[in-house]
Parts: sequence; structure tokens; C-alpha cells
Amino acid sequence: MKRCDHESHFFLRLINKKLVNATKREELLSKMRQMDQDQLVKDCLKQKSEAQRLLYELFAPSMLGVCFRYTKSLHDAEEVLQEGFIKVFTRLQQFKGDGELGGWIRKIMVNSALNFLKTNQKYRYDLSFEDSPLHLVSTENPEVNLDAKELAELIRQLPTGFQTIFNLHAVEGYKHAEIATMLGISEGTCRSQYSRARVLLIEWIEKFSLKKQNGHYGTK
Amino acid sequence: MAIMEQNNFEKNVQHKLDELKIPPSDSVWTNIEKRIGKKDKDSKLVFILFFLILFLLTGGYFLFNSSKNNGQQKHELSEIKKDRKATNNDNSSLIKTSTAKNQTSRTPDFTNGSEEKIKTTSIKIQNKVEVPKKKLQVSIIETAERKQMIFLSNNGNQKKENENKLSIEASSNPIKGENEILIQKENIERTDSVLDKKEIAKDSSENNIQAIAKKGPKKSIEKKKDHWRFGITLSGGTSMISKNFFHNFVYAVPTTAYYGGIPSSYYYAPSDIRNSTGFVAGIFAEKNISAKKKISIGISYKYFSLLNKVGNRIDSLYSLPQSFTSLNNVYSSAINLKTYRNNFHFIEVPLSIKFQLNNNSDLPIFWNAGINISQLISTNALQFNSSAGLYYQDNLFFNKTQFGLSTGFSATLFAKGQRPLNVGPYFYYSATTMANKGLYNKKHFNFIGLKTEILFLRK
Repeated sequence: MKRCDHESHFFLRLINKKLVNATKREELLSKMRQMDQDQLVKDCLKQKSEAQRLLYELFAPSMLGVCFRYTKSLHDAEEVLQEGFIKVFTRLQQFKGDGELGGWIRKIMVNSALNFLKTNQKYRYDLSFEDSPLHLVSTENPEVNLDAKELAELIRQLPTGFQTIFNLHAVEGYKHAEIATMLGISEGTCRSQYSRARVLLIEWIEKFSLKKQNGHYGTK
Repeated sequence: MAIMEQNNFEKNVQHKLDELKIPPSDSVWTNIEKRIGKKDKDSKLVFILFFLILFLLTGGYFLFNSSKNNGQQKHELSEIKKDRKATNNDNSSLIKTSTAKNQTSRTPDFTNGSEEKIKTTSIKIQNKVEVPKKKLQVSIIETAERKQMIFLSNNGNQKKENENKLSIEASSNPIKGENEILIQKENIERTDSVLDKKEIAKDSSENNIQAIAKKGPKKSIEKKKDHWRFGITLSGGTSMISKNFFHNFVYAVPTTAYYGGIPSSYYYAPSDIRNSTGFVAGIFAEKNISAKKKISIGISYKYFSLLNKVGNRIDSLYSLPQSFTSLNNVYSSAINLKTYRNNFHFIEVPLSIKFQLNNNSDLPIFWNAGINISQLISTNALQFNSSAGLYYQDNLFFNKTQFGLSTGFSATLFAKGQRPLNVGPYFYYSATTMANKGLYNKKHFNFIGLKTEILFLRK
């Protein structure tokens, strides 16, 4: 266990001092991921700054990806990431270790993003929903020929309400009933909003794929 | 089939987005590090403050107990010295007269004799230290009475002897003075009997023996009594909550297990709880316990409030999950956020000690520290259910009786007027946790504000 600890700190020192290039950095990080996460959590709970930095380095890029999908700018996404990680470090005692650490952190990030949307004036207005229980059911199932960043960019082009519901249902896997309670809307409204978001997104994916094939890059 | 196809799209999207990784800028970690460090420092600061208050309170208690006795002794000693000076003037002529009458140089012998006697007395009293105060007082008074009786029953020579003894005692040479101080230190009541002897000496010089016999021992010093003074107090400021020194968590969060990126259990996070206004209003009584220390006790009404964001109020039972239909005052945690004020009403009994920090009688500055016992009488504070994402009211969660520590500084304006006004910053920390479960689990109330006190002095 101690060997793991020393090893991870050694890797981290290399990364922090920028003694390794980007490829090597990724390799080291993946090695560190395989290390004992329980030990990492214990060290973080002891307020060891190196362990905290290591935890951040391990999860920050993927978590910024999560935050990026819920917001409209990278700056906002970083703000959510920051608040999320502060919560992670202050509530780490609650992580019992019976699930994946990454999953637990992701959950906190999603909740931080929702809180950010609810409290931020810029998003709050867009997050109001019309009560429309009728919804279209799209059966389209296009192939997604975009890379992750392009797809995320398209999702971010959706209106905030659509974007949030789409992220919560399609990506995070929440049920409509749960999303409805989270956002204080009816389940019907949630379904309707999701269907609209889905239709819109599929349309954009198709258009974007076409443009990409024709050599025109860029989002809408 | 349609649902399966639909799920394929979702799975594709999910799979694609799981690959999304964006390295954050360096400033993010810098900010996180600062904030974590700050929180850590804050909790350490509160911890140190707590022990500092505890230490000062304990120190203050012992100081109060020791200064009470010392203050009385000093006060009475100074009174005795004053009396002695006056008596010396009277008795100097008396000694001269008695020496002339006897034509013998017995005065020095008597002086020596009285020295020895006083020494013996002081030793006796010193030996009696273990005897309880009251007993010692009685024995000394009895001795004084016996002396008077002997004085009355004996012949003229003895009268003169006694006269001289007593007058010498009253005239007090340096050795006697030292012994007397020794006696004083052993017991304050001893001074009373010494003073009675002085009075006997005075009276005997006037040959008024009968009067002395009737008179008996009495206290010649009247203690200056410090009366309780009453006043009103009003404090206004910000009420806030802090976490326990040892725990960082605020409320229970179920652990989420992820299988293939899909969470198998969910929870909702409540909105942050923000500080809000608070005030304390009440009456108090204050008393000087020494020249620079005061003690005060009172009864106050205390109002604290905290803000959080809630969704719409759910009035219909049909909108609630079945297990929540019995709850009161239910709000959703969703959008359409509005600010909810959680009010806490307390009745409080504060007990504090004030220490004057300067010597300025026009503008005395005090540091005060105290303990407060409060009883929560009502609240509309909301709890939060993380699995359903609902806010609801349940007052059973709260610890109704709270013990708190307070400290602050105050400057007394119009100190020499009839309505002195104390104004200064005030800090309160509740040592008892607000609740042992729920949204306020392991949290402590704090209050920081401006405290004013108006004293009503008698004319």
C-alpha cells in the first residue's frame, strides 16, 4: 500500500514539474488510476495536498467534460468544476467506498452543474419550462459520426432546458420521473422537452455530418 | 423496437461523451487549493477561538474568586489604617498621662509584654487556620469580651495595666503592625476585635467602664455594598452556521454506484444555506465584583435566521410521494427558486463577566466573556430529503437546549451620566450542535454583530 502511495506521489511530482511530455503524462495518469483509490481517499482525508492534487489530476479532465455539456461556455464549465471539486474535498468522508470514486465525483459534478444553472441569472430564465405534456416520439436512430467534442458542442447549442434534460436522461441515465422532481416540472413536460431536444439534436447531427463529409467544419 | 432504437441513440451518445476529456486551466486548481486551505484554516481558527474562550472563562472564574477575598481584605485594611491614624493621635496623650501617674517606666515593659502577647495571639490564630472561619470569629470575639470582663473585675492597677496594654495596642508599634497584618490575612473578622479593643481603650481613658461592659463587640466597618444595576440590551447582526470542528460533512449523501456509466442510485443536493439577520433583545442586571470587573446576568429573546433556496410549495397531497404525505410545509427543490427564511426563536439566559481594559473612567473599555443557555421555542426551518429532493419541516430534529459561548468588547459612553451606554462588537458561538441529523446535522449557530446595553442608574 505504501509503495503505491510513494509511486503515485513520484508520478505526480514528475507531472507537476512538467518533466514529462503530454503522452507520457497520460501514461502516468493511467498508471495512477490503477493504483489503490482507497489509499488516495485516505490521504485526501488527511488533508495531504499532494494526494488532493493527484485526485484532481485524475478526474478533472473527464469531469470538465461533464460540466462542459451542461453549460454554454468553458469559463462557466470551469466554475462548475471548481465548485464541484471543493464539494468533493469537503465531503469526501461521505464516500463509503462501495461504489466507484469516479461515479461519486461525477454525481457531485452533475448536481453542482444543476445548482449553477438554477442560481446563475444567465441560465435561470432559460431553464423555465412551458407545461406541455404532449410530446413527439422520435424513432430516428442516426449513427453518430462525430467525435466527443463535436457532439458536446452540438448539445450545448440546444436551449438550456433542452440541454439539461437531454444530458440528464440520455447521458446520465436519469428517469423522466426523477428529472421531473429535480427540476420541479411534470413528468409529461420532461418527456416532451426531451423528445423535442432529441429531434433537434438528431437534425443537427445529420446536418453536421453532411457538412463534415463535404469538408465544412464547425458547429451551427 | 422503436424504444430499442431510441436506446441505441442514447447509448451511442453516452459512449461518445464518456470519451470527452478537457484539461482544465491551471487557475482552477489554484482556486480550489486556496478555498480548501481557507476552509481548513477557518475551522482551525474557530477551534483555537473556542479554547481561548474556554481558557479565559476558567481563568476569569478563578480570578473572580480570588479577587473577591483580596478586594475585601484590602478595603478593610485601608479602613483600619485610617482608623489607626486617628486613634494614634488620641492615644498619644493617653500614654503620656498614664506614664506620669505611675512614675515607673512600665510603659516599655508593657510595650514588650504587649508585643509578646500580640505575637502569641498571631501564632494562635495562625495555628487556627484550619478552623472554619465562623468558629475563629467567635473565639476572637469571645477573647475580646473576656478581656473586657477582666478589665471590669480587676483592681485599679490592673485597670491601668489593661489601659496601657490596650492603649499600646492601639498606638501600634511596627512589630504590632506586622502582627496585625498577619492576623488580618488569617481572618478579616480579627480586625473587628482589634478595633473593639481600640474603642475600649478610648472609652477607658474616659473612665466609662460600665458603658464598655454594656457595649460588647461590634463591627465598626460597614462594607460598601455594590447594588445590582438593571438595564436593557439589544444586539443586531448576522446569524450564521458553522460546521463542527471535527467533521466536514453537512448532511448524509447516499453513495452512488455506477455500472456502465449509469447511476444505480440518486440523490439531490440541497441549496446552500446562507447567513441572514439576527438580533437579541433583553434585560439584564449588572454588579461590580471589583474595581475593574463586573458580572452580569439577564434574560433575552434571541432571533436567528438563515436563508436557502426552495422550489414551489407543494400544497396538494397528491403531488407528493406516498411516504411524504404526512409531512408539513413541503417544498420542492426544483427551479422557480425562491428564497426561504428559516426563522429560529430562542429564549436565552446569558451570564457574563466584564473586564475593564483601560483606566479611563470617562470612556471605559471592557472585554467580556460569558456563557449562554438558550431554549429553542419555535422554528419554521426546513429539512431536506435527498432521495426525493423535497424540503419539509420537522422540528424534532433540533436540539432544543443550546449552550453557547460569547465574547466581545464594549466601550461605555456617557459613563458618568445616569444612562451609560455600552456599545461594541459581539460574537456568539453555540457549543451545542443545532441538530444531530438532517440538514443542520453537526452544525453550530454563530452570531456576529453589534451589542448595545443601556444601564439605568439610580439617582
